[in-house]
Formats: sequence, structure tokens, C-alpha cells
Amino acid sequence: MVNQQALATTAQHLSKDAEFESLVLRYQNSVYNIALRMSGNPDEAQDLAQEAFVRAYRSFDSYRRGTSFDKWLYRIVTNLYIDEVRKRRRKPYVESLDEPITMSGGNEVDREIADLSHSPEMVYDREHLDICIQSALAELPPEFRMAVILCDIEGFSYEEIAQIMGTSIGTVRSRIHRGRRGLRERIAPCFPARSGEVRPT
Amino acid sequence: MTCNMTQRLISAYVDRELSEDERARVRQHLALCAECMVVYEATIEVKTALGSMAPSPCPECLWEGVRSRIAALPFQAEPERTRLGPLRAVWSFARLVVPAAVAGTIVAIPLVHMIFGISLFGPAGTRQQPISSSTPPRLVISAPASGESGVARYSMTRGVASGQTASMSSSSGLFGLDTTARHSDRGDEYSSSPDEQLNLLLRRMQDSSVTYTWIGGSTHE
Repeated sequence: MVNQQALATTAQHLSKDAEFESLVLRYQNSVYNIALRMSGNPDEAQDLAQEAFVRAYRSFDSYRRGTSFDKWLYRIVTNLYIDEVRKRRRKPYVESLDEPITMSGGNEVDREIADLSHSPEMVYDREHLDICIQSALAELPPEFRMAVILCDIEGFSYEEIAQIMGTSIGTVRSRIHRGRRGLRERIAPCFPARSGEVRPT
Repeated sequence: MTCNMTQRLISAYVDRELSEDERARVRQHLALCAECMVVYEATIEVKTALGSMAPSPCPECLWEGVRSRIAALPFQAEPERTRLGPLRAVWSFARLVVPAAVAGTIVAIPLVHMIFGISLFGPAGTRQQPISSSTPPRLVISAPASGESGVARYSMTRGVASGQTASMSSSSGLFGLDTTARHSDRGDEYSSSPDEQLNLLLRRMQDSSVTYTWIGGSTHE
């Protein structure tokens, strides 16, 4: 009797595993992307995403089927990052722009760094712009950064962000406002045509 | 509306998260204020820049890492605990209390004997020991030969007490996505292809506290 129920539980675990796997495969890209934008470091993003999924697995029984899995998952990512990773105070990953690149043959090649403020065509260089934005993001407090990422990269509404972050809509509005204000000043140099135009408010 | 108030609302204005009233007031102010207009344009620029960041696909190994970490988690007995309710509660209580009571009695008997001169030992003096909880669960699997269709069976025995076995037969989709379970008197029955199921089952059973024994069928590795 006792063990029969244990076996039924085992069966539930196994079907739970299959369901969980399909959900992980569906959401792993966006979880990783959020983690990458939050941490700025691919290795840390991978650790963070994996830890989030393991936590999600552990509390998968408490997740109510039919509710939005992604919001539930992003909430885990948010809590994980803000509560734990911040405590470690790791340095954000920033790629050096002036260190020579070591080629496969061992030779070093100097990077040719364009002066962004004098070459408007570089504005459209996706890679440089992304690095610039990522550095700007890294300087924001984690709560502001997460709110802005969820809004501008993941496209969630304020109400959804409030659910994910466990705060009020007013707090979300304030975090996005302050986050973007911080970004405006830091991203401005990435856009040479506009640099100097925006005054701190 | 002041510039300060307007600029506080610009982000929400850009995101269309303002009430109609607030929206109208911001729009009105922007039409007249060049400084706020610059902030408005810069805010759109930030939003656009973030939205156009190239998405980074997650590494191939991400799910593999999750899978191996999940597999390394101890085989979960907790749901069993909650499901078994009163039985488990009694057992947990007994498991804690019985050894303590035995120890207490062992200490008390000579003391009572010494102080009051009363012999508390009966003629037999036997005491039943609680079933060892450290005995690993034992899983017995029987399965049809690889590639063949049929019914896979396994049973699990926990503890040393006999008669506490239960079996469950499985036959398709038990470990797949489309799980359908039928309940029968003997236990839960599932239809399935045994090969894949047993491989998955074994993966889950790689917990060191579980031993398995084959009682039939082919070897699944």
C-alpha cells in the first residue's frame, strides 16, 4: 500500500521530468538572454540560467499548471540574480577594447579601435553598440536593470513586470524611469551624432 | 505640468503605460518644451537600442547541464511523505521516539533497580527493534527484450519488512509527454514502449541509495 503510492509518485516524477524538459527547451533561450543581459558575462549567465532551471525543477510541484510558466520562471531568475548574485559582487564582464587579440597561431594583433565620437558609420556597428549598451546596463542597480531588460528586451508590460518582480506597478514605473535615465547618459556616447546633446536631468 | 514632472512620466509615456489624462498632459508639455523633447527622443533611443540588441542564443550545453544537475538530485522522497500523511507521520514519530525511549529505559532500569531494589526485567526481556531506515529501497525490474513490445514491470521494496512490495506495470507514453494513466486494482497501469521508459527510469534511479535487480528481460544500459 505504502510503496504502491511511492511508485505512483515515481511515475508522476517521470512524467514531470518530460514536461519540465519541454518547458526548459522552450524557454532556455530567453532565460539565458535575460541572464546574459543581467550579468554581462556568458559564463555567469550560463550558471545563472542553469541554477534558475534547477530551482524551478525543485519547486515545479508548486507551479500551478495553466498559469504563465515564463513569468514564474523569470521571477525565479530575478530573485536569484538580485538576491544572490549581487551578494557576490562579481565584476561585470567587459571585453577589453584595446588589448591585443591573440590569434590561433599565437601572434598578437592590435585591435583597430575607431573613435566612436568621430565616425558616425560606427553607430551602426551592431557589435560595438551592444558592448556599449551592455557596459551601460552593468552600471545600473540590479532592480533597475532587470525592469528595463524585461520591458525593452523581453517586451513585458508594467503589470507583467510587477508580477515577475513582485512589486507594484508604481515601483516598476519608477525603476524603468530611473533605469532609462541612467542609460540615457551612459549610452549617449555610443551615438556620436547625439553625444553631448542630452543633459543630465 | 513642470519639466520635472513631465520627465518623470516620459518613460511610461513612451511605453504607453499612462492614463489618458496623464498622456494628454505629457503630450501638451512636449509640444511646447524643447528640453523635454530632447529627453523624450533620447528615451526612445535607449528603448530602441536595448530592443535591437542581438539576442544571444543559449549554449548547446545549457540543457545538458540542467539535466545532469537534476539527475544528481537525490531521488525525491518528499512527495511520498506528504502523500502518505498519517502513516508517514506515525513512522517518523516512532523512528525518533523509539530509540530515545529505548535508551532512556536502558538508563532507567539499573537506576530503579539500584535505588528502589525493584527488578524491572521480565523473564523474556525481549524488545522489538524498529525497522532500520537505512536499508536502501530495492527496485526490481522485469522487461521484455529490447525492441520488443510488451509490458515492463518494476517493483520497489523499502525497508526490510516483507510484504511491503508494490508493483506497477507500464506499457506507452508513461515517460513521454502524452501521459495517460489508468488506474486498476493492482496499481497504476500505463501503456508504453518499455525500452525508452526503462532507460529513463534507470537514469532517474541512479541515486546511490537505490539498488536494482533484474529479474527478467534483456539488459538495458
